[in-house]
Amino acid sequence: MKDVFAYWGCGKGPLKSLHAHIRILSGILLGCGCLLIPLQSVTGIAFMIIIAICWCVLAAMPIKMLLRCAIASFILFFPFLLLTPWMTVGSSSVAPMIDRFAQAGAIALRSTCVLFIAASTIATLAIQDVHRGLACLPIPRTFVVLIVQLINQTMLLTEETFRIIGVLRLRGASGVRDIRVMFSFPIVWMVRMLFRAERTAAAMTVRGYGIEAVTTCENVKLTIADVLTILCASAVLVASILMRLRIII
Amino acid sequence: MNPVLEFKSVTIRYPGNSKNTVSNISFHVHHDERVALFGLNGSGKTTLLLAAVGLVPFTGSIFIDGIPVEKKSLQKARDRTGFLFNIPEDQILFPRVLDDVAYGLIRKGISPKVAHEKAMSALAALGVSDIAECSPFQLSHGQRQRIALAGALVTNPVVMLLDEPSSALDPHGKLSLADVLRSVASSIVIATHDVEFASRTCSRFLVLYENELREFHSCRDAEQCLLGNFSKMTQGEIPH
Repeated sequence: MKDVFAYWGCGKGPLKSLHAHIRILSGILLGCGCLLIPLQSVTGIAFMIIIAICWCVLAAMPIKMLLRCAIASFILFFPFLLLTPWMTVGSSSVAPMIDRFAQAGAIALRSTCVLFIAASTIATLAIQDVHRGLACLPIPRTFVVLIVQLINQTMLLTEETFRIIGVLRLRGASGVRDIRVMFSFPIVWMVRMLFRAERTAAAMTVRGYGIEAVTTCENVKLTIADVLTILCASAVLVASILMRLRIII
Repeated sequence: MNPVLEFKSVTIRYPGNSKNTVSNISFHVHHDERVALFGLNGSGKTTLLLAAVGLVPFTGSIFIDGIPVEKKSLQKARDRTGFLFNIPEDQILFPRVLDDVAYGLIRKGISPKVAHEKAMSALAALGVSDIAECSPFQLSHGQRQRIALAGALVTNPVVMLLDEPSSALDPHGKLSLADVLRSVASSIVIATHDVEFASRTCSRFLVLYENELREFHSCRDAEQCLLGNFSKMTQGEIPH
Protein backbone atom coordinates (compact mmCIF):
# COMPACT_ATOMS: atom_id res chain seq x y z
CA MET A 1 0.00 0.00 0.00
CA LYS A 2 2.75 2.40 0.97
CA ASP A 3 4.19 1.95 -2.54
CA VAL A 4 0.92 2.84 -4.24
CA PHE A 5 0.42 5.81 -1.98
CA ALA A 6 4.03 6.87 -2.56
CA TYR A 7 3.26 7.78 -6.20
CA TRP A 8 1.21 10.76 -5.10
CA GLY A 9 3.37 13.84 -4.84
CA CYS A 10 6.66 11.93 -5.12
CA GLY A 11 8.04 14.35 -7.72
CA LYS A 12 10.59 16.92 -6.63
CA GLY A 13 10.66 19.09 -9.73
CA PRO A 14 9.70 22.74 -10.28
CA LEU A 15 6.13 21.79 -11.22
CA LYS A 16 5.41 21.11 -7.57
CA SER A 17 5.61 24.80 -6.78
CA LEU A 18 2.69 25.58 -9.10
CA HIS A 19 -0.90 25.82 -7.89
CA ALA A 20 -2.63 22.44 -7.76
CA HIS A 21 -5.30 23.31 -10.33
CA ILE A 22 -2.63 24.53 -12.79
CA ARG A 23 -0.80 21.22 -12.46
CA ILE A 24 -4.00 19.24 -13.04
CA LEU A 25 -5.15 21.38 -15.97
CA SER A 26 -1.72 21.39 -17.64
CA GLY A 27 -1.50 17.61 -17.31
CA ILE A 28 -4.92 17.24 -18.91
CA LEU A 29 -4.07 19.62 -21.77
CA LEU A 30 -0.81 17.81 -22.50
CA GLY A 31 -2.53 14.42 -22.30
CA CYS A 32 -5.17 15.59 -24.76
CA GLY A 33 -2.43 17.04 -26.99
CA CYS A 34 -0.65 13.68 -27.09
CA LEU A 35 -3.89 11.94 -28.00
CA LEU A 36 -4.38 14.27 -30.97
CA ILE A 37 -0.89 14.45 -32.46
CA PRO A 38 -0.80 12.53 -35.77
CA LEU A 39 1.96 9.93 -35.75
CA GLN A 40 2.36 9.35 -39.48
CA SER A 41 5.39 11.64 -39.63
CA VAL A 42 8.67 11.63 -37.70
CA THR A 43 7.93 15.23 -36.63
CA GLY A 44 4.69 14.15 -34.94
CA ILE A 45 6.41 11.25 -33.15
CA ALA A 46 9.30 13.46 -32.05
CA PHE A 47 6.94 16.21 -30.88
CA MET A 48 4.94 13.78 -28.72
CA ILE A 49 8.02 12.15 -27.19
CA ILE A 50 9.58 15.54 -26.43
CA ILE A 51 6.39 16.70 -24.68
CA ALA A 52 6.28 13.56 -22.53
CA ILE A 53 9.99 13.78 -21.67
CA CYS A 54 9.79 17.49 -20.82
CA TRP A 55 6.80 16.94 -18.50
CA CYS A 56 8.56 13.99 -16.82
CA VAL A 57 11.74 16.05 -16.33
CA LEU A 58 9.80 18.99 -14.88
CA ALA A 59 7.95 16.64 -12.53
CA ALA A 60 11.24 14.95 -11.53
CA MET A 61 9.73 11.66 -10.55
CA PRO A 62 12.19 9.36 -8.72
CA ILE A 63 14.02 6.88 -10.98
CA LYS A 64 12.36 3.96 -9.16
CA MET A 65 8.91 5.30 -10.04
CA LEU A 66 9.96 5.99 -13.64
CA LEU A 67 11.12 2.40 -13.97
CA ARG A 68 7.84 1.14 -12.57
CA CYS A 69 5.94 3.27 -15.08
CA ALA A 70 8.10 1.87 -17.87
CA ILE A 71 7.36 -1.68 -16.73
CA ALA A 72 3.65 -0.91 -16.43
CA SER A 73 3.52 0.60 -19.92
CA PHE A 74 5.43 -2.39 -21.33
CA ILE A 75 2.97 -4.82 -19.75
CA LEU A 76 -0.05 -2.79 -20.75
CA PHE A 77 0.87 -1.64 -24.25
CA PHE A 78 3.43 -4.09 -25.65
CA PRO A 79 0.63 -6.57 -26.45
CA PHE A 80 -0.60 -4.07 -29.07
CA LEU A 81 2.41 -5.05 -31.17
CA LEU A 82 1.22 -8.64 -31.12
CA LEU A 83 -1.83 -7.47 -33.05
CA THR A 84 0.34 -6.37 -35.98
CA PRO A 85 -0.73 -9.17 -38.39
CA TRP A 86 -4.38 -8.20 -37.96
CA MET A 87 -3.95 -4.43 -38.22
CA THR A 88 -5.65 -2.58 -41.07
CA VAL A 89 -4.00 0.54 -42.44
CA GLY A 90 -6.53 3.04 -43.73
CA SER A 91 -9.09 0.99 -45.63
CA SER A 92 -6.54 -1.56 -46.78
CA SER A 93 -6.38 -4.95 -45.10
CA VAL A 94 -3.48 -6.11 -47.27
CA ALA A 95 -1.00 -3.37 -46.37
CA PRO A 96 2.72 -4.25 -46.00
CA MET A 97 3.75 -5.66 -42.64
CA ILE A 98 5.92 -2.61 -41.86
CA ASP A 99 2.90 -0.31 -42.16
CA ARG A 100 0.86 -2.56 -39.94
CA PHE A 101 3.68 -2.63 -37.39
CA ALA A 102 3.87 1.18 -37.53
CA GLN A 103 0.14 1.35 -36.85
CA ALA A 104 0.35 -0.94 -33.81
CA GLY A 105 3.51 0.82 -32.65
CA ALA A 106 1.81 4.21 -32.87
CA ILE A 107 -0.97 3.03 -30.54
CA ALA A 108 1.56 1.63 -28.06
CA LEU A 109 3.75 4.75 -28.22
CA ARG A 110 0.85 7.15 -27.81
CA SER A 111 -0.50 5.17 -24.84
CA THR A 112 2.95 5.07 -23.25
CA CYS A 113 3.41 8.84 -23.58
CA VAL A 114 -0.04 9.53 -22.10
CA LEU A 115 0.71 7.13 -19.24
CA PHE A 116 3.99 8.93 -18.46
CA ILE A 117 2.27 12.33 -18.57
CA ALA A 118 -0.47 11.07 -16.24
CA ALA A 119 2.07 9.49 -13.88
CA SER A 120 4.17 12.67 -13.84
CA THR A 121 1.09 14.77 -13.09
CA ILE A 122 0.23 12.46 -10.20
CA ALA A 123 3.84 12.75 -9.04
CA THR A 124 3.42 16.52 -8.76
CA LEU A 125 0.20 16.25 -6.74
CA ALA A 126 -0.07 15.16 -3.12
CA ILE A 127 -3.38 13.36 -2.70
CA GLN A 128 -4.56 16.21 -0.45
CA ASP A 129 -3.98 18.69 -3.31
CA VAL A 130 -6.34 16.94 -5.71
CA HIS A 131 -9.50 18.07 -3.93
CA ARG A 132 -8.37 21.71 -3.67
CA GLY A 133 -7.08 21.66 -7.22
CA LEU A 134 -10.30 20.30 -8.68
CA ALA A 135 -12.38 22.76 -6.64
CA CYS A 136 -10.56 25.63 -8.37
CA LEU A 137 -11.30 24.34 -11.85
CA PRO A 138 -14.48 25.44 -13.62
CA ILE A 139 -16.13 22.03 -13.53
CA PRO A 140 -19.45 21.00 -11.94
CA ARG A 141 -19.28 20.38 -8.19
CA THR A 142 -20.95 17.00 -8.60
CA PHE A 143 -18.10 15.98 -10.86
CA VAL A 144 -15.53 17.11 -8.28
CA VAL A 145 -17.26 15.13 -5.51
CA LEU A 146 -17.32 12.10 -7.77
CA ILE A 147 -13.64 12.27 -8.72
CA VAL A 148 -12.48 12.91 -5.15
CA GLN A 149 -14.53 9.99 -3.89
CA LEU A 150 -13.30 7.76 -6.73
CA ILE A 151 -9.71 8.48 -5.75
CA ASN A 152 -10.42 8.11 -2.04
CA GLN A 153 -12.24 4.81 -2.39
CA THR A 154 -9.70 3.46 -4.90
CA MET A 155 -6.94 4.14 -2.40
CA LEU A 156 -8.93 2.43 0.36
CA LEU A 157 -9.63 -0.61 -1.81
CA THR A 158 -6.00 -0.78 -2.87
CA GLU A 159 -5.00 -0.67 0.79
CA GLU A 160 -7.45 -3.48 1.55
CA THR A 161 -6.21 -5.53 -1.41
CA PHE A 162 -2.60 -5.20 -0.30
CA ARG A 163 -3.62 -6.25 3.21
CA ILE A 164 -5.28 -9.39 1.85
CA ILE A 165 -2.22 -10.15 -0.29
CA GLY A 166 -0.02 -9.65 2.79
CA VAL A 167 -2.11 -12.11 4.76
CA LEU A 168 -2.02 -14.64 1.93
CA ARG A 169 1.77 -14.36 1.78
CA LEU A 170 2.07 -14.64 5.53
CA ARG A 171 0.00 -17.78 5.50
CA GLY A 172 2.25 -19.29 2.87
CA ALA A 173 -0.06 -18.92 -0.09
CA SER A 174 2.67 -17.85 -2.45
CA GLY A 175 4.17 -21.25 -3.18
CA VAL A 176 3.04 -23.75 -5.79
CA ARG A 177 2.08 -26.23 -3.02
CA ASP A 178 -0.56 -23.88 -1.67
CA ILE A 179 -1.76 -22.60 -5.00
CA ARG A 180 -5.32 -23.64 -4.12
CA VAL A 181 -5.40 -20.73 -1.66
CA MET A 182 -4.89 -18.38 -4.58
CA PHE A 183 -8.18 -19.55 -6.05
CA SER A 184 -9.98 -18.34 -2.94
CA PHE A 185 -8.45 -14.87 -3.30
CA PRO A 186 -11.08 -13.44 -5.70
CA ILE A 187 -13.87 -14.65 -3.42
CA VAL A 188 -12.27 -13.26 -0.27
CA TRP A 189 -11.46 -10.03 -2.08
CA MET A 190 -14.91 -9.56 -3.55
CA VAL A 191 -16.70 -10.22 -0.26
CA ARG A 192 -14.47 -7.78 1.60
CA MET A 193 -14.88 -5.12 -1.06
CA LEU A 194 -18.65 -5.52 -0.96
CA PHE A 195 -18.75 -5.27 2.82
CA ARG A 196 -16.51 -2.22 2.72
CA ALA A 197 -18.67 -0.58 0.07
CA GLU A 198 -21.73 -1.25 2.20
CA ARG A 199 -20.11 0.22 5.31
CA THR A 200 -18.83 3.28 3.45
CA ALA A 201 -22.27 3.87 1.98
CA ALA A 202 -23.70 3.69 5.50
CA ALA A 203 -21.11 6.19 6.74
CA MET A 204 -21.90 8.53 3.83
CA THR A 205 -25.58 8.33 4.68
CA VAL A 206 -25.00 9.11 8.35
CA ARG A 207 -22.63 11.97 7.59
CA GLY A 208 -24.95 13.35 4.92
CA TYR A 209 -22.25 13.24 2.25
CA GLY A 210 -23.26 15.31 -0.75
CA ILE A 211 -22.42 18.22 -2.95
CA GLU A 212 -21.46 20.38 0.06
CA ALA A 213 -18.44 18.11 0.30
CA VAL A 214 -16.62 20.20 -2.29
CA THR A 215 -14.05 22.36 -0.63
CA THR A 216 -14.00 26.04 -1.50
CA CYS A 217 -11.40 27.49 -3.81
CA GLU A 218 -9.43 29.97 -1.77
CA ASN A 219 -8.46 33.15 -3.58
CA VAL A 220 -5.39 32.11 -5.49
CA LYS A 221 -3.02 34.54 -7.14
CA LEU A 222 -1.42 32.99 -10.17
CA THR A 223 2.34 33.34 -10.40
CA ILE A 224 4.30 33.93 -13.59
CA ALA A 225 5.31 30.26 -13.55
CA ASP A 226 1.63 29.25 -13.34
CA VAL A 227 0.72 31.43 -16.32
CA LEU A 228 3.70 30.26 -18.38
CA THR A 229 2.97 26.61 -17.72
CA ILE A 230 -0.68 26.88 -18.67
CA LEU A 231 0.22 28.88 -21.79
CA CYS A 232 2.75 26.26 -22.89
CA ALA A 233 0.31 23.41 -22.26
CA SER A 234 -2.38 25.25 -24.22
CA ALA A 235 0.10 25.89 -27.03
CA VAL A 236 0.87 22.18 -27.20
CA LEU A 237 -2.83 21.37 -27.46
CA VAL A 238 -3.38 23.99 -30.16
CA ALA A 239 -0.34 22.75 -32.12
CA SER A 240 -1.63 19.18 -31.86
CA ILE A 241 -5.03 20.21 -33.21
CA LEU A 242 -3.40 22.12 -36.08
CA MET A 243 -1.22 19.11 -36.89
CA ARG A 244 -4.23 16.82 -36.77
CA LEU A 245 -6.06 19.16 -39.18
CA ARG A 246 -2.91 19.25 -41.35
CA ILE A 247 -2.77 23.01 -41.13
CA ILE A 248 0.84 22.79 -39.96
CA ILE A 249 3.36 20.10 -40.93
CA MET B 1 -36.60 16.60 30.86
CA ASN B 2 -37.05 14.44 27.75
CA PRO B 3 -34.42 11.80 27.11
CA VAL B 4 -32.04 12.56 24.22
CA LEU B 5 -32.05 8.93 23.13
CA GLU B 6 -34.93 6.59 23.70
CA PHE B 7 -35.45 2.98 22.63
CA LYS B 8 -38.99 1.66 23.10
CA SER B 9 -39.52 -2.09 22.66
CA VAL B 10 -37.02 -2.31 19.83
CA THR B 11 -36.61 -5.66 18.13
CA ILE B 12 -34.13 -6.20 15.32
CA ARG B 13 -33.88 -9.13 13.01
CA TYR B 14 -31.61 -9.09 9.97
CA PRO B 15 -33.24 -10.24 6.74
CA GLY B 16 -32.73 -13.96 6.24
CA ASN B 17 -32.08 -14.65 9.94
CA SER B 18 -34.51 -16.82 11.80
CA LYS B 19 -33.52 -15.37 15.21
CA ASN B 20 -33.81 -11.82 16.48
CA THR B 21 -30.50 -10.07 16.98
CA VAL B 22 -32.03 -8.12 19.88
CA SER B 23 -35.53 -8.44 21.27
CA ASN B 24 -37.80 -5.95 22.93
CA ILE B 25 -35.06 -3.55 24.06
CA SER B 26 -36.10 -0.43 25.96
CA PHE B 27 -33.82 2.13 27.54
CA HIS B 28 -33.23 5.85 27.51
CA VAL B 29 -30.31 8.19 27.86
CA HIS B 30 -30.74 11.61 29.39
CA HIS B 31 -28.91 14.83 28.66
CA ASP B 32 -25.25 14.78 29.70
CA GLU B 33 -25.27 11.06 30.54
CA ARG B 34 -22.44 8.76 29.51
CA VAL B 35 -23.56 5.19 29.03
CA ALA B 36 -21.42 2.14 28.30
CA LEU B 37 -22.98 -0.67 26.32
CA PHE B 38 -21.30 -4.01 26.96
CA GLY B 39 -22.00 -7.36 25.43
CA LEU B 40 -20.31 -10.49 24.19
CA ASN B 41 -19.27 -10.74 20.54
CA GLY B 42 -22.33 -10.88 18.33
CA SER B 43 -24.67 -9.78 21.11
CA GLY B 44 -25.99 -6.84 19.08
CA LYS B 45 -24.18 -3.78 20.47
CA THR B 46 -23.24 -2.40 17.07
CA THR B 47 -26.65 -3.32 15.68
CA LEU B 48 -28.34 -1.23 18.39
CA LEU B 49 -26.18 1.78 17.54
CA LEU B 50 -26.84 1.35 13.81
CA ALA B 51 -30.57 1.13 14.49
CA ALA B 52 -30.41 4.45 16.33
CA VAL B 53 -29.41 6.16 13.08
CA GLY B 54 -31.78 4.13 10.94
CA LEU B 55 -29.16 1.95 9.25
CA VAL B 56 -30.82 -1.34 10.14
CA PRO B 57 -34.55 -2.08 10.04
CA PHE B 58 -36.27 -2.46 13.41
CA THR B 59 -39.69 -2.73 14.98
CA GLY B 60 -40.62 -0.56 17.96
CA SER B 61 -39.62 3.08 18.23
CA ILE B 62 -36.41 5.02 18.63
CA PHE B 63 -36.29 8.74 19.35
CA ILE B 64 -33.29 11.06 19.15
CA ASP B 65 -33.87 14.33 20.96
CA GLY B 66 -37.59 13.66 20.68
CA ILE B 67 -37.41 13.08 16.91
CA PRO B 68 -38.59 9.65 15.79
CA VAL B 69 -36.07 7.64 13.79
CA GLU B 70 -38.32 6.95 10.84
CA LYS B 71 -38.27 7.69 7.13
CA LYS B 72 -39.79 11.18 7.32
CA SER B 73 -37.58 12.58 10.05
CA LEU B 74 -34.49 10.42 9.65
CA GLN B 75 -32.18 13.17 8.40
CA LYS B 76 -33.21 15.48 11.27
CA ALA B 77 -32.45 12.74 13.76
CA ARG B 78 -29.10 11.98 12.12
CA ASP B 79 -28.14 15.65 12.17
CA ARG B 80 -28.37 15.53 15.96
CA THR B 81 -26.11 12.51 16.17
CA GLY B 82 -22.37 12.01 16.08
CA PHE B 83 -21.46 8.49 15.03
CA LEU B 84 -18.19 6.61 15.19
CA PHE B 85 -18.07 3.39 13.19
CA ASN B 86 -15.91 0.57 14.48
CA ILE B 87 -13.75 0.68 11.35
CA PRO B 88 -12.78 4.35 11.19
CA GLU B 89 -11.50 4.41 7.60
CA ASP B 90 -15.02 3.64 6.40
CA GLN B 91 -16.21 7.06 7.49
CA ILE B 92 -13.21 9.11 6.39
CA LEU B 93 -14.37 10.53 3.08
CA PHE B 94 -11.77 13.15 2.21
CA PRO B 95 -8.14 12.96 1.13
CA ARG B 96 -7.15 15.66 3.66
CA VAL B 97 -7.72 15.23 7.40
CA LEU B 98 -8.81 18.85 8.00
CA ASP B 99 -11.40 18.72 5.20
CA ASP B 100 -12.85 15.53 6.63
CA VAL B 101 -13.20 16.83 10.17
CA ALA B 102 -14.63 20.17 9.01
CA TYR B 103 -17.19 18.59 6.68
CA GLY B 104 -19.94 18.17 9.27
CA LEU B 105 -19.80 21.91 10.04
CA ILE B 106 -19.64 23.02 6.39
CA ARG B 107 -22.71 20.89 5.73
CA LYS B 108 -24.51 22.83 8.43
CA GLY B 109 -23.75 26.08 6.61
CA ILE B 110 -20.82 27.27 8.69
CA SER B 111 -18.21 29.14 6.64
CA PRO B 112 -15.20 27.03 5.62
CA LYS B 113 -12.80 29.30 7.51
CA VAL B 114 -14.65 28.95 10.81
CA ALA B 115 -15.27 25.25 10.15
CA HIS B 116 -11.55 24.66 9.65
CA GLU B 117 -10.72 26.55 12.86
CA LYS B 118 -13.20 24.46 14.83
CA ALA B 119 -11.92 21.30 13.17
CA MET B 120 -8.38 22.23 14.25
CA SER B 121 -9.61 22.66 17.84
CA ALA B 122 -11.30 19.24 17.74
CA LEU B 123 -8.12 17.66 16.40
CA ALA B 124 -6.07 19.46 19.06
CA ALA B 125 -8.39 18.19 21.78
CA LEU B 126 -7.65 14.66 20.62
CA GLY B 127 -3.92 15.37 20.37
CA VAL B 128 -3.64 15.07 16.60
CA SER B 129 -3.57 18.66 15.36
CA ASP B 130 -0.15 18.00 13.80
CA ILE B 131 -1.69 15.69 11.17
CA ALA B 132 -4.38 18.13 10.02
CA GLU B 133 -2.78 18.59 6.60
CA CYS B 134 -1.96 14.91 6.08
CA SER B 135 -3.80 12.38 4.01
CA PRO B 136 -5.59 9.69 6.04
CA PHE B 137 -3.70 7.08 4.01
CA GLN B 138 -0.44 8.14 5.64
CA LEU B 139 -1.77 7.48 9.13
CA SER B 140 -2.01 4.58 11.53
CA HIS B 141 -5.28 2.94 12.53
CA GLY B 142 -5.26 4.73 15.89
CA GLN B 143 -4.74 8.12 14.25
CA ARG B 144 -7.58 7.42 11.82
CA GLN B 145 -9.81 6.55 14.74
CA ARG B 146 -9.08 9.91 16.33
CA ILE B 147 -9.80 11.73 13.07
CA ALA B 148 -13.15 9.96 12.72
CA LEU B 149 -13.90 10.81 16.32
CA ALA B 150 -12.95 14.45 15.78
CA GLY B 151 -15.37 14.52 12.82
CA ALA B 152 -18.13 13.26 15.11
CA LEU B 153 -17.23 15.58 17.99
CA VAL B 154 -16.82 18.80 16.04
CA THR B 155 -20.51 19.37 15.35
CA ASN B 156 -21.43 19.23 19.07
CA PRO B 157 -24.16 16.65 18.48
CA VAL B 158 -26.94 16.08 21.01
CA VAL B 159 -25.94 12.45 21.34
CA MET B 160 -22.82 10.60 20.32
CA LEU B 161 -22.89 6.92 19.45
CA LEU B 162 -19.41 5.47 19.58
CA ASP B 163 -18.62 1.95 18.47
CA GLU B 164 -15.41 0.72 20.10
CA PRO B 165 -13.79 4.17 20.29
CA SER B 166 -10.79 2.96 22.28
CA SER B 167 -10.04 -0.22 20.34
CA ALA B 168 -7.06 1.17 18.42
CA LEU B 169 -5.73 3.63 20.98
CA ASP B 170 -2.59 3.36 23.05
CA PRO B 171 -2.94 3.68 26.87
CA HIS B 172 -2.14 7.39 26.78
CA GLY B 173 -4.65 7.91 23.96
CA LYS B 174 -7.33 6.10 25.95
CA LEU B 175 -6.78 8.31 28.98
CA SER B 176 -6.93 11.52 26.96
CA LEU B 177 -9.99 10.29 25.03
CA ALA B 178 -11.75 9.51 28.32
CA ASP B 179 -10.97 13.06 29.48
CA VAL B 180 -12.29 14.54 26.23
CA LEU B 181 -15.48 12.47 26.34
CA ARG B 182 -16.12 13.45 29.95
CA SER B 183 -15.79 17.11 29.04
CA VAL B 184 -18.06 17.29 25.96
CA ALA B 185 -21.60 18.55 26.31
CA SER B 186 -23.19 15.70 24.35
CA SER B 187 -24.75 12.58 25.80
CA ILE B 188 -22.71 9.55 24.87
CA VAL B 189 -23.39 5.87 24.30
CA ILE B 190 -20.26 3.76 23.95
CA ALA B 191 -20.38 0.19 22.69
CA THR B 192 -17.20 -1.39 23.99
CA HIS B 193 -15.40 -4.33 25.53
CA ASP B 194 -12.90 -2.06 27.23
CA VAL B 195 -14.06 -2.17 30.85
CA GLU B 196 -11.33 0.12 32.17
CA PHE B 197 -12.02 2.78 29.54
CA ALA B 198 -15.77 2.55 30.19
CA SER B 199 -15.29 2.89 33.93
CA ARG B 200 -13.26 6.07 33.38
CA THR B 201 -15.78 7.58 31.00
CA CYS B 202 -19.28 6.40 31.89
CA SER B 203 -21.63 6.49 34.83
CA ARG B 204 -24.19 3.96 33.61
CA PHE B 205 -23.45 0.49 32.33
CA LEU B 206 -25.76 -1.56 30.14
CA VAL B 207 -25.10 -5.17 29.27
CA LEU B 208 -26.67 -6.99 26.36
CA TYR B 209 -26.78 -10.50 27.73
CA GLU B 210 -28.74 -13.40 26.28
CA ASN B 211 -30.78 -11.09 24.07
CA GLU B 212 -31.83 -8.86 27.00
CA LEU B 213 -30.57 -5.53 28.22
CA ARG B 214 -29.55 -5.26 31.85
CA GLU B 215 -28.44 -2.16 33.65
CA PHE B 216 -25.76 -1.73 36.29
CA HIS B 217 -24.42 1.23 38.17
CA SER B 218 -21.05 -0.38 38.73
CA CYS B 219 -18.68 -1.29 35.97
CA ARG B 220 -17.44 -4.25 37.99
CA ASP B 221 -20.92 -5.76 38.15
CA ALA B 222 -21.36 -5.27 34.43
CA GLU B 223 -18.08 -7.09 33.86
CA GLN B 224 -19.09 -9.96 36.13
CA CYS B 225 -22.37 -10.23 34.25
CA LEU B 226 -20.45 -10.47 30.99
CA LEU B 227 -18.28 -13.22 32.47
CA GLY B 228 -21.37 -15.03 33.68
CA ASN B 229 -20.19 -14.81 37.33
CA PHE B 230 -23.49 -13.71 38.79
CA SER B 231 -22.51 -14.91 42.26
CA LYS B 232 -19.67 -12.38 42.42
CA MET B 233 -21.89 -9.43 41.72
CA THR B 234 -22.24 -7.00 44.58
CA GLN B 235 -25.86 -6.39 43.72
CA GLY B 236 -26.54 -10.11 44.01
CA GLU B 237 -29.26 -10.21 41.43
CA ILE B 238 -29.25 -8.90 37.91
CA PRO B 239 -31.53 -5.87 37.86
CA HIS B 240 -33.71 -5.62 34.75
